[in-house]
Amino acid sequence: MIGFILILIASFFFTGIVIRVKSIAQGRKGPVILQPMYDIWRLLRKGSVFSTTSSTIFQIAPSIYFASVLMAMAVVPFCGNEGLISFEADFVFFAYVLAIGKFFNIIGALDTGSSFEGMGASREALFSMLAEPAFFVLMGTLGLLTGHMSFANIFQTFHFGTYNSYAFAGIAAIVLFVICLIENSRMPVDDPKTHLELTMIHEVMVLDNSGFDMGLIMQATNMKFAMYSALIANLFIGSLSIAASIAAFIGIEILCAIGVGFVESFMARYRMSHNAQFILVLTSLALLMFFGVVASLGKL
Amino acid sequence: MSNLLSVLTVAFAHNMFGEIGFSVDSLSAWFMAIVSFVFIAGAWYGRGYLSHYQQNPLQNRLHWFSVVMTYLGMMILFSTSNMIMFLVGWEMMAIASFFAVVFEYDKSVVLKAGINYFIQSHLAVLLITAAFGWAYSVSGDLTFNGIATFMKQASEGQTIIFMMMLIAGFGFKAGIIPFHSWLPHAHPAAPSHISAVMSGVIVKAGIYGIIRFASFMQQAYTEVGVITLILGLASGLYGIVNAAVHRDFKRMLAYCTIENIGIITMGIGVGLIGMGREDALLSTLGFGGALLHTLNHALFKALLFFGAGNVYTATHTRNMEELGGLISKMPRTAFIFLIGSLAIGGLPPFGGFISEFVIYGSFLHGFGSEGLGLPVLMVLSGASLAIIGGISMLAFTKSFGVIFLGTPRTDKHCSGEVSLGMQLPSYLLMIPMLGVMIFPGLLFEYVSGVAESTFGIYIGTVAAGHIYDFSVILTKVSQGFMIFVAVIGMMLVIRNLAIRNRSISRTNTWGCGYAQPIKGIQYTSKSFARTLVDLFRVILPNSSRYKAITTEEIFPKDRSHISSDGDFWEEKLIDPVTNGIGLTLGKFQFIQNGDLQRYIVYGLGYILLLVASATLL
Repeated sequence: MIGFILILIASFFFTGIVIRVKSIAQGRKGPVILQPMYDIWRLLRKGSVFSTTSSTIFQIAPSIYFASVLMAMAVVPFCGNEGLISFEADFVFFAYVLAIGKFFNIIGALDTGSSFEGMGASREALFSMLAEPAFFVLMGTLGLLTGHMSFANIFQTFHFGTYNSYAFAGIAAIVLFVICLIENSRMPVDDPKTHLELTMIHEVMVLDNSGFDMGLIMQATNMKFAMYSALIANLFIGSLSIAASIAAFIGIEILCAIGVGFVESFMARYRMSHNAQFILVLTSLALLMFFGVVASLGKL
Repeated sequence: MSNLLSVLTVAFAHNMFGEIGFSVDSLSAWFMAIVSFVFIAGAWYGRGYLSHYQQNPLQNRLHWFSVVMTYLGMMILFSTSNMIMFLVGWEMMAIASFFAVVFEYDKSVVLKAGINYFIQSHLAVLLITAAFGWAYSVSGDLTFNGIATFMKQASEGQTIIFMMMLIAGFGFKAGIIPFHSWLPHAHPAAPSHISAVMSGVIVKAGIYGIIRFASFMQQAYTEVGVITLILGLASGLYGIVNAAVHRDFKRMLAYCTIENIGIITMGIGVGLIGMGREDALLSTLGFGGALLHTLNHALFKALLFFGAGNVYTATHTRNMEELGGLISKMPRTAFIFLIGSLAIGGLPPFGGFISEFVIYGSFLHGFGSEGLGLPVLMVLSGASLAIIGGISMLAFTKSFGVIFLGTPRTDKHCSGEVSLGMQLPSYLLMIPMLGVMIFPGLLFEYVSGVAESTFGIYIGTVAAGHIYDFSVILTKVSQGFMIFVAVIGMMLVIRNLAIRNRSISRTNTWGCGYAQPIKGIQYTSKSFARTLVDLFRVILPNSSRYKAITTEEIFPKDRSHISSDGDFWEEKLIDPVTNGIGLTLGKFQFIQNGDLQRYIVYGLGYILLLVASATLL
């Protein structure tokens, strides 16, 4: 429960920190940290405009997307405590619950009959497909290393490993961080702040959403950021005392947000056609880690 | 659980075929139950579906007769324990289902696809008969005991070859690559209820065959298991990539069947590897996942074909590029197709997730096994299953989106929602789907019992504990489903309450400020899958006919661009072989010249040859 609440709280600040880091890097002062939340709050109270082409799917899609992220958050453990829902191999459930949200997001975009949104939908489907195996191999490898298969047990046991496990934690953190960027369609895969719809992925899918639905989508993105950062935090926290782990959690969340801000400030977006290669590199990184773990377990 | 169903055996007197025994054990019962249920739903749907065709009493009678004969043949082959009777049942199924497929025999495409199916079914029979003959020649027993005897005597190499013959033979029926090429032709050609039955359950006869005869193995489990697993992986990936590309929605579903058969085959492969390692949990998870996925796939594939049949009935086209926006005219069909699409992608909270989860569980368990080879194979299989899941999402968001959402892409007439008689069978299929969602733990206990009794897996107390733990996990998964459904419901309620008093206006879709969007600018099936196609170009042959504009042409004339997607294996492997055979045999065509006198001379020559050989030898 405490993990769920912490992720929720972290999500309120995450994008604000990203924006602030970008502003400072560009030599501006930047808006207050909570500005994205003010925007979402304003959206939630606004009326909506629906496309005449769209059907019920368009109206239910954002809610289901939001629900799927909430559900995925409930699986994430915190500091040796299980998530709200926890069982062996729950990370498969985690990935597939997120997938159903994506499914509705994609068909919601296709429901408008817009060429831009179709384009974004096609790209989202492709890139998230390419990122799937990396996550699976990564979690399976951590499971192999720790001898457990549920999020909570993996993270709890992971910490008691040797120094090797910190090296693995480093690689795992990189993989999770990049998956986080891909899942949220940020640089270097996608640029949410570009001026042209043709070059976007996620943002172009939600061109027609407005009002309450748009607020849900934006908050879901924030929560996804915080959720993946929570996974990264879990890699390092292990079983500290509650107070210390909350502090560590907040620290790692802030570091992740600053990391996203740095990537966005100092990297250019890849060409769309290069994204596939970039994402596949992630799978090879996860595989590399798998072989490292196999070697460290003395199987080679 | 498996003990609930004791073995039922009926045997006829000893004759030249050996004892013709019929015995129903838990494995047969599992398949018979699934097949019977889908046949009932299919027949119900077929009543409504065929009423849209011109009524020709004779044609109808022949059709229903062949449907019943197909069913009867399947029941025979599931329940018999005699090789000859198995082949009789198999043959009944193959011939009768051919007649069921060619319902519209006056169309040449349909007939051609049907004959393709017919021939490939018989290649399967050929391989299976050869394998049976081999077993019989060693054991001298035509009952399945003969195969068991043969397997006990055979060397490791012989076992592998024997199993490969059977897997190839049954692979033709199941649609394992490279034996799959009849599916993408036969499914679009058949009427939809037959496609549903064929894709949902007739292909499962091949799965039944593989499981049944693998259960007689005594050795070489690991080798056969690894080959089966790799075949399954290849089928899964190949099937789903093609499903994402094809634009004929029934052909898309046919490729999707190849993918799901691949997943089932992966489960069987892992199960066999588990047998080789004497790892009871691994084999139970593998076989259990395969059996569960057999059930799930039968249900949601039939559901999708019913949905596809509804669309075809209303629009008379199978090309999704001509469709669009059907959700406003056919909301119930859209709902049916959406449920099917979600379920087949293995997305929670539907049953497909349960069986894929069990198979993922087997891979994860295999990660930790001894040695290096197996863990690597398992990790690659797991990664491939994750990719399959991802591409399947792409394939079905594309299909659902292009057929049902947006605006119509052409002026194709849509006659509106289909009759209630064509919707109810789909709802009937949803009832057991709901059952899988709510009671996955019980079902897993049952199928693990089936796997144990069929393969005689030795379950120690430790393994029994693990298997029980896994069924508890599945129960937790289903609780997760319930919570998920509740959260979705809650979100929808909150949202509707929140926007109740807000201003809601409707306007055009945003088109960069352009206020007159036309239907032609929408994303199509082809453009949606374009980036994927570029990635998998190697295995996706695409032929396009287009004359490029040259610099000499100052005023370009009207042009057309035609592109069609082929099948890699068909073009690279099967067509060259069949063309070669055709060419070689064509050289002997002079023998068949329609000249009666010559035929009499052939007959005379043959008799002379016989007499001569009889006297000389």
